[in-house]
Amino acid sequence: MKDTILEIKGLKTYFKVEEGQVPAVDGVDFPLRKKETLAIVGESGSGKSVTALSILRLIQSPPGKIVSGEILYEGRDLLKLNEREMRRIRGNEISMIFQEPMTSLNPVFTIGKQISEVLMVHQNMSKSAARKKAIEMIHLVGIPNAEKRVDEYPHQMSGGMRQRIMIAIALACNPKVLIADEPTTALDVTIQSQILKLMLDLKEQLETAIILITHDLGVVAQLAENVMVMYCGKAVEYGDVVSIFKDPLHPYTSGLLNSIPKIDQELDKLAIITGTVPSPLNLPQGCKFSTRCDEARRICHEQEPDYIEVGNGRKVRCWKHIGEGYDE
Amino acid sequence: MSKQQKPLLEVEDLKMYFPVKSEGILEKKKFVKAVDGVNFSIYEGETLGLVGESGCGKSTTGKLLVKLLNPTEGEVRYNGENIVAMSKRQFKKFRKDIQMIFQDPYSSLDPRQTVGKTIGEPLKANKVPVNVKETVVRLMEEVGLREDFYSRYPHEFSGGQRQRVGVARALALNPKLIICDEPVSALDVSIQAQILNMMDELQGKFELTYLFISHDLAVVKHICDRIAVMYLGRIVELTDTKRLFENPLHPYTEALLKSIPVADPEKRQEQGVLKGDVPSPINLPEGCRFHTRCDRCMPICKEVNPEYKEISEGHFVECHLY
Repeated sequence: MKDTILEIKGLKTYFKVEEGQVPAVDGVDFPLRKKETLAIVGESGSGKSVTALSILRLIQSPPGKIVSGEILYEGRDLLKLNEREMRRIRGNEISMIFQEPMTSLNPVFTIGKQISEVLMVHQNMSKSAARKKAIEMIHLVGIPNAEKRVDEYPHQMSGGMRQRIMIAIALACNPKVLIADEPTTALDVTIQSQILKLMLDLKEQLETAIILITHDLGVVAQLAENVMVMYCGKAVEYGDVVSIFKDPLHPYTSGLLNSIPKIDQELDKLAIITGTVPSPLNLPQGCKFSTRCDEARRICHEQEPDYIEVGNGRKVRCWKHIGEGYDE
Repeated sequence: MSKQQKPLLEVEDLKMYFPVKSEGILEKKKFVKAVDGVNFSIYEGETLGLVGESGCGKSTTGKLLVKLLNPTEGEVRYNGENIVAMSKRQFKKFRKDIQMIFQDPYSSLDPRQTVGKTIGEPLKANKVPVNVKETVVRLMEEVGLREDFYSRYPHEFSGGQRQRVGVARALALNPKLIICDEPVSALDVSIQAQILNMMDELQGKFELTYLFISHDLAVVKHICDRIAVMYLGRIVELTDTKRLFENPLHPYTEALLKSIPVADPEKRQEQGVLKGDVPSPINLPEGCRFHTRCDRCMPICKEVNPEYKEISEGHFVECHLY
């Protein structure tokens, strides 16, 4: 597609641990178009955050290593850049918001300084120009009294305000891609809703593409255009948000959707996915979900299915949809 | 909830103030008013939900009910007897009846004790005349843990399994009331559903009464018969689940309901309905404590705290609009 800004192809990131190798990300492919919001969904340990960190090459090595794949940003493979070139991308072209607004700000610097820093490094702004822009950004993310707030420290702010500051830092250089890793998980619902509104508004205004990493399917339904579902380090399903929610193809996706209590429906009993996520050191041989899947047949336990296209831009990794060999 | 039923637990004007370190010797002593006058009853066999945002006092309320904290003021009556005034020794026979399940399945289990020992400990501590091992194995079966887990340690278990251990421990003494403090918030959704279904089954089987504390309204809606909404140390609305969701009266309840992201991409909602932050519980606003964020605020709201009253049968609201 010609308006694709970021494309991930066959990404694999492994970690070496004492007991062996953990394939944290083991086959992730997705495109991101300009101004698109893509949600990456999955439970803890499914590899969502490692995917995000891999894109920015923030995986600590050792123990982690990107073993294969391509990360094409505007056609350039980020994995081939040297550290200096990479630094020009980080925070400038692609930036990131982290889950913990409490720990990801530096407690000993004023928030004004933390916003200005990005501007001075990436845009060569003078100190006074950066400060002016910092005030502008604080105002933009909806914090009143920006002129006063700019000189305050993170501990003087509430969780919601700190997350607004994180967003201000991430968007200060007007990046083309914003990666938001569980941006609202640590926040209360009313504050979460405020932050989601802010992200939607800023996306319109600044035309940023967003990769939204979350485990909250409600947030996904409200914000995303496309969704990628991950399980045990692999992308198992991809499609537009309405199709994914209305007609999930992978048994894991439908299991996930059925197991959430719905606010707009009455249910006697929640559907469940039996069992637990397998240990990454001891993954099943065939399909990684086969141990918990109701529809698993012999082939599912023996052979890993390919990630195939099924039309309408949707992709799925499941023998049921490959068809061949699934009858037995 | 029928009127004839007698309440198992009644809470009357319960207050818990924590002193804050003052900044100078001349300064007036300040308090965090974590719980500031709450009233409610829990009826036998029901699940009462207690919802609210962080810092609203829901966990503190839970702790007060099991006497892990002693309130500044107020009464907690269990079967008509005020447990607040009791000494530890007097309370001991009630402690069996009121148990608690905690939020964090990682820190609420002793890492150096086997799971079997953890579950059996309440039996030993209360000198219950039963075969401890047999009872523990039976309890483990009830919560879906295999017998061979008996001599394993908590670190060998996943979050969901640990929470099952916590539930088994709470069940050991055959309690009547279980205070569940965010029992599923730390779990992944697929595991959360397993635990919720299990708690539902156990309730029917052992005739349990639950107080279910949570910030997740979807979970609360699924499991609770009645719901109390807390804001800054007070209950602002209490009614049965159906009425609360269909006809929320307090502006805060309404805003809270509108803030939950609905898992349906074809029903996109307006985001950011409720503006501003929760005020500090040290410097509470004058009048109604929600008036700083309320879009239907009237002059009286800024001056007088509204009364908590029953405006229709079983529907309590604290708001000047009613």
